[in-house]
Amino acid sequence: MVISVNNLVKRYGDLVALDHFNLEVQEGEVLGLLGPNGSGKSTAINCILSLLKYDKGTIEIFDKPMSPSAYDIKKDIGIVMQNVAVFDELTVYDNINYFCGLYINDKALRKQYVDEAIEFVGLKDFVKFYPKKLSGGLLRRLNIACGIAHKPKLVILDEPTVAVDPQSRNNILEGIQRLNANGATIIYTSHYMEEVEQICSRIVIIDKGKQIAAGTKEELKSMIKAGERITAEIFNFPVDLLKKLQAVPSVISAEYDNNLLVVKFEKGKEGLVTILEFLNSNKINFGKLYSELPTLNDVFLEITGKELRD
Amino acid sequence: MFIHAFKYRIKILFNNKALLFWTLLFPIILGTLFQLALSGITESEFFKVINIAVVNNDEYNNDLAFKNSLASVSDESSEDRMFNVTLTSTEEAVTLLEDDKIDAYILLNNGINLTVKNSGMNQTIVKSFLDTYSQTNSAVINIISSNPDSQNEIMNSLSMSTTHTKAKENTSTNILLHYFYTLIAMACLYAANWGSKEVCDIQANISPTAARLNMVPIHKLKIFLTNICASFCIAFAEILIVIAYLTFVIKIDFGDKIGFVILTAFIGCIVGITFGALISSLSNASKEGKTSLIMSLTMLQCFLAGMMIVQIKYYIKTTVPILSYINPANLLTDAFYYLYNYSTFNAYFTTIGILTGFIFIFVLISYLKLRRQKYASL
Repeated sequence: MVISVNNLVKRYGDLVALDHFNLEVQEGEVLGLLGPNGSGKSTAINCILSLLKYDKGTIEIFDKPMSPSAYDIKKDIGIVMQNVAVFDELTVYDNINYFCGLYINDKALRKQYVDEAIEFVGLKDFVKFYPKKLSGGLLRRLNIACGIAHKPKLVILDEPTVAVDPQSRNNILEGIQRLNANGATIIYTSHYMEEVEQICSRIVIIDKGKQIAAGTKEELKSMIKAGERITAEIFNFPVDLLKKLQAVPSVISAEYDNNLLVVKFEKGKEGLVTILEFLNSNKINFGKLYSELPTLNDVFLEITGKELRD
Repeated sequence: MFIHAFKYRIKILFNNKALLFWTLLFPIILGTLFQLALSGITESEFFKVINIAVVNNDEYNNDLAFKNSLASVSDESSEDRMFNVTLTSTEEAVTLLEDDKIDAYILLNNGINLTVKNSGMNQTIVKSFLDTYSQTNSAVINIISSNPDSQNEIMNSLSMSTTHTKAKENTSTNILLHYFYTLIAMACLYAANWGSKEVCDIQANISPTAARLNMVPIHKLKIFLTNICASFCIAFAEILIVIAYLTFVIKIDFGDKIGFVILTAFIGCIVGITFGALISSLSNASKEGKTSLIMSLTMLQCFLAGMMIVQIKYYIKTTVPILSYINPANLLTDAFYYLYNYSTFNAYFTTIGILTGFIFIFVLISYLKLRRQKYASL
């Protein structure tokens, strides 16, 4: 077990930020910690890293209790903060070399690791730049390089793609997958469900400081009632027909707004066939019509009753 | 690891232009302004002969050494005259003091007693003269009692020492120097900004880089001490540059004890850095809040040490003397003053001792506060 968190409780005054939070991370997996803003993701990470005091619970990393002085554990952890944690006074190369040097004493090995980290994040052309001269995306890449240059066994990335352009975001996500392919266990926190779906082998959904669901994305989606969601562009859809549609046995919900009819079907039901038959039989013309499988947002919505991005 | 972290810390600090301005350029600019503002003032505006009275009793008349010393600095024909001495009875001396005709009177009654009505520069000069006399006198008595043959030699040195002290006391340089002493004290204490930065840079709740540094597999205090060493090197180099600028460009004469001047600056830098570390570790304010607090406290210390109004220093010394001993800026100023004006080192080393004590207290409190620090929030 790489990480084991049991019944973690963290309070900020009256606010319970982590409410008996549990987490287990296995070696070699990319674990996504998904939750809306303020759900307790960063607090959980900071407690796991012993940066924050917590009120109750136990935390073990690499099967050893984690504490501020657990240096034998810390040497195998790489952390990429939500806020960019680099020195403005040092160049790109110096920043990576400085942080790497706090883990790796051997000068030749360190140089090799730093060069590899620069290559890895694609900052070769910017090694002599100071952070203030870098764009937001490049700065995030530097932030990642500083966290992973020493080749840690466990990499924790706390929302590393916030305020990053799509190209840099893809670059970062691919990099994380390569890190994992090279043997690192990854914890990735985000409120972007697409990112989590794209790169994580297992996902933990957190809300109000509690783990509300955990599993692969398929497992999570299988936990909910909702299956296919079909959207059809229809002008002036009659209200009585909407009621009729809602009464169809396989339909979970049917809503009509802004000329869009959205119908959710139960899992395993032939939603597309059902809706096409329904529209044809009622002589309703439609424009676009498309089907979507449930997303993590649907999972979150069904479990908590609110949107992931609320 | 130490060399690696130290080298990069030097780079980080050296590239911090804002801090370099406040800790290096600002004292140099201020020193230049002091020189421009004060160089036009003539010596006569700085120093006038001080009116004092001496109670003419048997003890005074029998103490030839004191009479001679006082006479040597009261000679009307001398350009280095310090005192205009009136011999009076005790009652007359009290009346003269009450009527502000004299600044102080001296009564020899089982020792030398000084009475003043107000605090100020003149009164301090009289006290300084008496302190120096007493120190030298007791040293001579000790030496003669253990080696009677050395009496003549000692008397010659005593005479030279008195003349030396008199010449120094009797120039306007003393007043001008005071401003530069406080300036160096201020520059030393501005090193508090480096100390504060070091604490901020290991407090995970203050900066993201500090949070990252908290995750490296090295004891936080090791990183802190390495960084403090780097800060000290930068701060001390800055002070040496400031002293060199004042000595060679502004042509301020700090006397012939340059080694001790550098030692004082060395101690001053450590006091400044540890003071900054202490304030920063105790304060829960943001980085900017801590910087403002340190700047304010440093300026307050310098103000109380007489950097803006020299009389403040003497007012504090006579009304709230304890404040003089717990104000690092004042202690540093005094240390420089003793080096320049005193031929003996007793007062100087006492002051350095107090400053060293402060360093230990600052370090101890900062250590207790910072060790194994975890945060309630980040």
